Amino acid sequence: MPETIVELKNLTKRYGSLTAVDDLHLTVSKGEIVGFLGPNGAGKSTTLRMMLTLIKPSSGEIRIFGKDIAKERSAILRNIGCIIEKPDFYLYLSARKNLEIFARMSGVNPDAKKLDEMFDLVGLKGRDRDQVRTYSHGMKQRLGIAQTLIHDPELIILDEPTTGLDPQGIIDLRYLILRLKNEFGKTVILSSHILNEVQLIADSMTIINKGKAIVQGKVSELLSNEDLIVTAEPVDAALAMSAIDATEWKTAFKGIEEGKLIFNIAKQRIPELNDFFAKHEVALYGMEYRRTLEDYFLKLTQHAWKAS
Amino acid sequence: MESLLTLVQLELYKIVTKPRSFIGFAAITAIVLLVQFALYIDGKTYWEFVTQSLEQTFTINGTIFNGNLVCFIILQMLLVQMPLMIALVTGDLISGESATGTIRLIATKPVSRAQILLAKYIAGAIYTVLIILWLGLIAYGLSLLIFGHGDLIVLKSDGMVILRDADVAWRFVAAFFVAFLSLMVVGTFSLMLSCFTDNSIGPIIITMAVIILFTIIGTFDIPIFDRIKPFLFTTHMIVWRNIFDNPIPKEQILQSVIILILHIAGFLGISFYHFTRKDIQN
Repeated sequence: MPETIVELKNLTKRYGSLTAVDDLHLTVSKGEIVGFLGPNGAGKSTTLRMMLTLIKPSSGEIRIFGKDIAKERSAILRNIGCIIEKPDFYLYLSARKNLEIFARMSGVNPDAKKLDEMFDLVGLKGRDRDQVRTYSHGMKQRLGIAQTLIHDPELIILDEPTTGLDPQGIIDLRYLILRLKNEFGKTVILSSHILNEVQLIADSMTIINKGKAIVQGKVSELLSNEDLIVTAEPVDAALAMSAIDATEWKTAFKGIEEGKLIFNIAKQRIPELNDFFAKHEVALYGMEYRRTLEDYFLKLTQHAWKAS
Repeated sequence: MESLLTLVQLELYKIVTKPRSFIGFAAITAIVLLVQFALYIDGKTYWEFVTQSLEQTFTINGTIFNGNLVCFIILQMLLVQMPLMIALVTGDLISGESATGTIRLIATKPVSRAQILLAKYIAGAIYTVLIILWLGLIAYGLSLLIFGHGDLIVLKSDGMVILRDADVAWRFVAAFFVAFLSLMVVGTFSLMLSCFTDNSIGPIIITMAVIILFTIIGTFDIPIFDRIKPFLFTTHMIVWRNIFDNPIPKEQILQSVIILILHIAGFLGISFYHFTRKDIQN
């Protein structure tokens, strides 16, 4: 049984009549990357801010490293590195001085060698003496990562770390997060509103919406290939419908949307379905698939986007 | 205690590396040098004009236009402007961090918010001391160097006070101390406002607006304003002038000093109460 690092119980945050986080339960095990997913405004940042004492919970309990954050704040925060929302620094100071300031606030006084190592790790070697105002967003994000690691914390919390990064920056950051787990044994909580971003690196994930945890579990189980949404777009929908009628595909058939037939099947059965249509001379414009969770999350984010 | 010292060091470093921190020093230097230059060129004519009514009654001998008098004139002018220079720095201490977003980082470090605020306050107080010392050095020290020593004649609305040269230096030291307290009231007030906002311009503008409003109330002799005046910190900020009275109204000065300290304690208390409890949302 892996050691539990973070435990949130009945965590709630209310702003007047608005409940931003509603009776949330969450457990994070040591050494794993946990994806914290949800559409914008779902309550992810509020939850992370409560874990970091930026926001006071209305009720509930936050235990990190087995300690109550309300009682042992300093001891807990000494062992956490974080970037909340975006990496903001003192623009008029050099990256090196910024890193030194935040390290000293975390209780460590890094020597020149340690600072060099950090800048090397995040790929900012040679730019460490430049003022942060000359940095791009991606460089600030890397400096943010250095800032989270400088005091060698056990837990790293990254709130939407890929926001504003270019595609290469996203890939670099993904690789860096994996290194933090694999080489340094860190536990990482990564919040995002992009499922794909999380599923690529996370061991487990929690999907939150309207302040409530809706889905929790291992990524490998939640995004299994056994439960796919397959859509087939036939040239003649009536012909396709008559073909599947009275066959075993009838049970997997979930309906028709905008001329597309929707099936709920495992990935290995897709070629079989394709063969079936070919055999019954049902011409297809195309077939595509997505996992049930992806479909669910897509609808969730689309709904949130429309609402906003 | 060790972490508080580290925090104070870091806050002082941030202050000295911010260009705006030097605006106060630059402004004081420019104003003082300008006044000294003007008085060096035309000071005697100016002083003869000011004292011409007195010369009909008194015979004035000796170097009455001297460094002590120039320093006194400069203080009269500058102590009204100096709050702005202090508010430029202290009004930015918390709200500046909120505006740039660095508040999120510092508030997630293993130091209490009370320590963060206290460190910022101490750094702000040290900055105020340095501003006052700089003012003392150039307004008093440089004036004595340029204009020389002599007795100080202080003109009052109801007469004048003549202070012997040997009796003036300590009064200036005391005046600078009271000025420091006054500026600390302004500094603490703007720090308090800084805890409530996420932009640094707001606290600076509100601080100046409040000082201007209170000064206007203090200027009018209207019965309703007379009842308010004792509660306004601006009323007590000008008490340093009484140090140049003879005899010195010690009780009145002490009372004003206590009121100024109470204002500092009150504003600081509100700052701590709010900052240690507020949700950091930005």
